[in-house]
Amino acid sequence: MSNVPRISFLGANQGAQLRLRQAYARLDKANQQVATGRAYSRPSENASAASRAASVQDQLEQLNTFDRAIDDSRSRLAVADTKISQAMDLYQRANELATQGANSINSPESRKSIREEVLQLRSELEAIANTTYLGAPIFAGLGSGSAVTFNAATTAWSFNGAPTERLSRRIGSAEVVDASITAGELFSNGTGNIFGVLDQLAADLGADNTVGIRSSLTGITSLRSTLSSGQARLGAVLNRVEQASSRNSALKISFSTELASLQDVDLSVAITDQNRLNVAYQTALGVTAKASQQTLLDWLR
Amino acid sequence: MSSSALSIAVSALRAHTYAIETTSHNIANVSTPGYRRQRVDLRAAFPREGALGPMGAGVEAKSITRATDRLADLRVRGSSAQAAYFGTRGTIMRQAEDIFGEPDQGISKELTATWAALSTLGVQPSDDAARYEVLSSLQGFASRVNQVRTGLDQLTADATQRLSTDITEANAITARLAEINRFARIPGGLPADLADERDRAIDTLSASIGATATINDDGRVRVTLSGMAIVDEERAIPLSVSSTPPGQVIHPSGPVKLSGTIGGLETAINTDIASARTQLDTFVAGFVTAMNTAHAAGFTPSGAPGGPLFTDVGGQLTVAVTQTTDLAASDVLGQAQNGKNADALSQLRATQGEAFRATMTALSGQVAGIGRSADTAQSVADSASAQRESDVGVNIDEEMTNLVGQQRSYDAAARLVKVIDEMLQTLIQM
Repeated sequence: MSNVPRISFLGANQGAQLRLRQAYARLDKANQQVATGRAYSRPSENASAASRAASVQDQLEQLNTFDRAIDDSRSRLAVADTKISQAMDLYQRANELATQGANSINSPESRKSIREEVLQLRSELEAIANTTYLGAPIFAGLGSGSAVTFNAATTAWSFNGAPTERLSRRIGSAEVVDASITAGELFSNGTGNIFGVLDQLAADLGADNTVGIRSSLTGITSLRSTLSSGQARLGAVLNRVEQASSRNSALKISFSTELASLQDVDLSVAITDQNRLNVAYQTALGVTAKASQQTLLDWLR
Repeated sequence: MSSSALSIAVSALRAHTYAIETTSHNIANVSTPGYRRQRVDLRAAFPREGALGPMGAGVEAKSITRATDRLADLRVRGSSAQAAYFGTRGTIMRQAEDIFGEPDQGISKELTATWAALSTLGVQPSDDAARYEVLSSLQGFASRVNQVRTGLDQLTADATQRLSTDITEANAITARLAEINRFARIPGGLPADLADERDRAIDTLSASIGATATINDDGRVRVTLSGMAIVDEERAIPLSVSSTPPGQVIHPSGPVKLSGTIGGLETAINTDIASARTQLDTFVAGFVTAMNTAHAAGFTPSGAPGGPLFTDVGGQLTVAVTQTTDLAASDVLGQAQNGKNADALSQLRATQGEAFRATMTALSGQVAGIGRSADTAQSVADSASAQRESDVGVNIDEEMTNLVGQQRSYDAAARLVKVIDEMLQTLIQM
């Protein structure tokens, strides 16, 4: 007899209420998970997962900022590459014109017309060197002035931006590329610059100086290889940018997957749980309703 | 002979009437919270001297006993004080967590926007829209930080307000207990129903401040807090809340260590919220220093070195930069297309982002820890309370069985009167 626990009316009532409340709280949590798709609604419910999720989320956001730098570098490099290719064609034409001019069968008149074309070429090259991208010169380093300027007083060409002045773009967490090249690097080398060479060529053509014309051929050839190596350098940078882009895309997928596994609830499990808890709650309600109406009073008549 | 038999029968009638009345009282109070079932103690009356020596003199109702379980009371009070202590702290800290609003509406979101704007500025340093975006993200960060601070201050103020209300209520309860102690002096001791009220008051007081109560043999209660009496015989000693430092409960004789709801409020105000606030302030101070230092390394478009981005004075974080042209994106004087300093600022993401996440992890870990303690303490308290209620409360089946027994005893005593009556009739008609 004494082993049977005594249960009072109020105690049984409180116990039933407590059990119903607990069952309902579990059901509510399951409902919330199904409704929001989140495994937890506040960080303290799963502090370690929430912390990891915040960190992964941050890395995902950072990848988006790299994307912006990648897009910018890509279009910048593409513009620079097109312009350099155009310049390359002009170099080729200048080479042909210098070869023609050096040929002794040409008359002074025809040399004059060649001279006109050479001056035309120089202006075109100047325009190419001063190409702007988003309102700023693309070959002028980090400054805002024109890339190439002619000083009438000294009759010399000068380049804006030191060779070390390159636009740096962060395309990965530890990867920074130089997404620009200066006009000085492209259009000049130890022997001189293309504008000076073309000016000299024009002067020699005007003066019928075939020796001078011939020597400018050497200058054009050497400057062409400088231009070509500059283009190759930008091509290599573009390659790195493309690699970084595909790497970032892959990282994004893996981070998104991890984020989902940290934050999101497995819906099939959540819905099964919800059903189970719902049945449990209904049962608890039914049992409570049945059990609490029975007392000895029902039998004493 | 007959007269003493009659008086025995009458004593039985009277005693069983008391028993039935008490059973009725029990049934009437079946749903009264804190009601303890009562029993009439019956005992054989003192024997009288008869011809054959001492002879039985019937039954008498000696007293009414309340079902009590002092050990269960101690368990209930101790566990409810713990449950209220952690429960209150848990509720307040969950509110603090809501104020931070992580991860969807929190500071981390503003930080992310700041880093994104700074790296865009790194790519497009001469773009005024990019500069404007940086300014507005800095503003967003500062105003979110200030909102969180204000929210925490408001939470502290609310808790302090509630603390003084609760202390007033606790003082009212101790005053009532002192009053009840006065009734213990009346002959026959403290009435059972007043004892119920006393025990209920002690239960409330335990959950509210975690006081310790000792009940003397004469039914008077002595309530102490950290060894200092707050109810002593017929006198209550009121507690008060200090204004400086705010939110501390003081006893006239010195500082007290509290548990229960009020202890929870006190710890929440002085430890939990305060530490969340300190952690936030430490992060903000480090962030402001790092950002200002990094910004000072750069140059604005007009060639001036970067001034402070933020000032944090008197709990108010302000963006010190007002013009887009005050942002120092370049790391070399006079380079319009140089965004390296903006990029360097955006690279603070690694250290500052981690610092903020560490702050939030510490906070949510703390909230989770308090929540777990609260859940455990609550389930212990629930089971202790249900256990006690079952031990000392009213069970209808039991009362009905008792009633049937008492009714039969009454019937039998009445029958006895009838038999004696018949015997007397026989005697008279002789």
